[in-house]
Amino acid sequence: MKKLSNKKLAMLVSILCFTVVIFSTTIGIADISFVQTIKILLNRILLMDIDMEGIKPSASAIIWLIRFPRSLLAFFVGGSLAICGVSYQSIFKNPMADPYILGVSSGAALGATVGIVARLEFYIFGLNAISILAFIGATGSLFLVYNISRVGKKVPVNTLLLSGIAIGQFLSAAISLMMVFANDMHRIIFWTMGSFNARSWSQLIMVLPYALIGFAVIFSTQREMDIMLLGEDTAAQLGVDTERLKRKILVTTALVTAASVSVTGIIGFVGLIIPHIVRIFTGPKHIYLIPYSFVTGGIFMILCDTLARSMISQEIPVGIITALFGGPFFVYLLKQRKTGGL
Amino acid sequence: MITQLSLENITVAYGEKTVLENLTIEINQGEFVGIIGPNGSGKSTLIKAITDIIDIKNGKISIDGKINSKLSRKERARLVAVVPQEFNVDFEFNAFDIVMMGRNPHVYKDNKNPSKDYDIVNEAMLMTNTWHFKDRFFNQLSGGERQRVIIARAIAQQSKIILLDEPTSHLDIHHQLEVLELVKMLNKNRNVTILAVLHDINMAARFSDRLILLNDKKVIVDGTPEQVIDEKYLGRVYEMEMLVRRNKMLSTKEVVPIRVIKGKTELARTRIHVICGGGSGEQILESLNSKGFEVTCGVVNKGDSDWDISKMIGIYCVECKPFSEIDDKSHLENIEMVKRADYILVTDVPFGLGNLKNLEALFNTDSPIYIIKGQGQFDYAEGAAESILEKLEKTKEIEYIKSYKEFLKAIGKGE
Repeated sequence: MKKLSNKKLAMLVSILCFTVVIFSTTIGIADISFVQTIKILLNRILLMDIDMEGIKPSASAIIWLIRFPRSLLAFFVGGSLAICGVSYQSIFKNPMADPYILGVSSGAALGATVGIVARLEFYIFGLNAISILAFIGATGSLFLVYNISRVGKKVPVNTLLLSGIAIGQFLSAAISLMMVFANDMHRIIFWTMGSFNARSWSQLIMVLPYALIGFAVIFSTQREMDIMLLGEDTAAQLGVDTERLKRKILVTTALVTAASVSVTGIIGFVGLIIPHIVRIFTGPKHIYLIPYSFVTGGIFMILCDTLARSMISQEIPVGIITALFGGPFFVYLLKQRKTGGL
Repeated sequence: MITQLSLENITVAYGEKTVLENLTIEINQGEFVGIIGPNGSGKSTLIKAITDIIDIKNGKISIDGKINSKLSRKERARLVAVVPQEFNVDFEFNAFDIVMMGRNPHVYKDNKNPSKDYDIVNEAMLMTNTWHFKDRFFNQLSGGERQRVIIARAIAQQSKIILLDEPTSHLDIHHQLEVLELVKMLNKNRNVTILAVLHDINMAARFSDRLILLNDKKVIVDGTPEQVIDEKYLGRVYEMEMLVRRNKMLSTKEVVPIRVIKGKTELARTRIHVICGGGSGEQILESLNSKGFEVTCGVVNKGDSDWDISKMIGIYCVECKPFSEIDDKSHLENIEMVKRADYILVTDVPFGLGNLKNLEALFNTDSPIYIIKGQGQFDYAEGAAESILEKLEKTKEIEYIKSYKEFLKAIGKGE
């Protein structure tokens, strides 16, 4: 596949990004036109004095309090998962790595399950108990996995992956056990499939700092991540402090993933596939791979969420959509590529 | 001389298995040092220890006067660059990207100068003749091209020392030579210190100023190629028979590997005297010697290739002055040898006035005489040689044979 020049690609992606946000905000059960949506957003964001005649206050509320923050949340969650996927695939040199590989998702799910089963109802900064417990579970499981695989100052990649998988399986079994005895099986299953339903500004505010700071930290390592792809020993001989880089990436991605998962549930596939799709167009250099993965992951997530809430009258968990539509598309791209592999 | 890299009493182990034990090596600035030794002698481990990929159990490594373990990865990479054995990248980096990665240790947060990095990479790639394919994917280059790109990366790294870990083991001889010539050029023109682990002893001897032979966790010998390329070290370490000779064209010593499976030694009491000269005895002397016979030869002019080989493999040779007739002293000595021999073998050597005495000496033996007669002219002494033979035939046990193989069969030691 021919690579586009970087300027063209950047322009294309920004236009696409903007269009998709507006478009997804327009679509929904309540019939609000494209123009009305733009008017409402301009009015709200720039506090412009626009003629709001013919626009009901309820429409304004739907756009501003429900659809727009939901769309932005989808963008940042999608972007976060995608760059975490990029980071893991690079430091593990493993194309199958995704943000959940070290048991972060299982930890989060366990936290959420505890919250659901115990019917905890409290709020901190507008976040409910389930989100908070999920966040604790996610960071806790990574802390556990990291310390299990640590040998002195070093963290061997293979041990890390294996203990991540082991802990993940263990936690999943614990969740299943709880589900057997709980009456809320339905809620738990829905949570693990991920959704943006009823998420709004408070969830966005929770995710945003992790997404932005996480992006900045991960992007700052772009040069070292390139070198890491040559193998750990070579990277070390080229002046990369590989252990420090791994620690930095693990901690950052764990926090970013935990933040995303705790508010939306486990949305699979994005973190695995988006990096591969983007790599086909940009090549392996992280200076392009990281920002494009973020934006592409974000756009992809908005599109999936839009489908999830508008395909049929009942909302489908977005994790189903990401895999259902992303999977065949990825297979198509793989077939198109002659060189194969990554 | 300034010591640039020093290993003092270092011990390295993988778990319980010690790979290097109390190793001490000092390398001076601007030296080209070759490390040789059999598989598993710890050569590659040495490079890993110097670049702190594996920890040393005890001892001390210092690079450029600084203690290795206290250097950060970046600081170390500014002092030492590595050219590995074989290098694959699963990702689509082009050659330029790979060389640019060599600039990593020089990137500081507040001192970024991209155009300077570009210039250095450009220069390194021009030096290694890789600039014209800078945009091609690294994983689509040939083995020799890749290795040149990796050397360009090491140049771009601007380190004082380059370590090479069997850089040529996957290359054909053209590319082997190319890589080593390139490294030698860096060593000479830029005064880069080179420490190269090399498989090929002859290449190592040819390019290195100094050789270090490693075996069984230790340094066996450390010295000039002249000192190290010696059967007494190499034969034992590599457990094989070999011929060490001087390559006159390159004026280096070189090793000709012969065999690993040992010959029988019960033949040691059988004495064979070989009349040879002009290179007709080279293979025969070597073969008889390696089979364990007690071999002597004579009379051979000094500087003759048969004389060379007898010196190399250490068999007794009756010698006389170059390009001269056999003198009386050596003739008498030769007669002694002939008398003591159990068999006499005359190789397919032509006889002229200079070496006629070699045939005359045969009147002094009662042992069987075997004469190899080939296609070429035998007598250059206007019939004198032929007439000596006729006389010999009357009194001595003479057998004419076509080849050395027949000789072995005749004495019952054929293969």
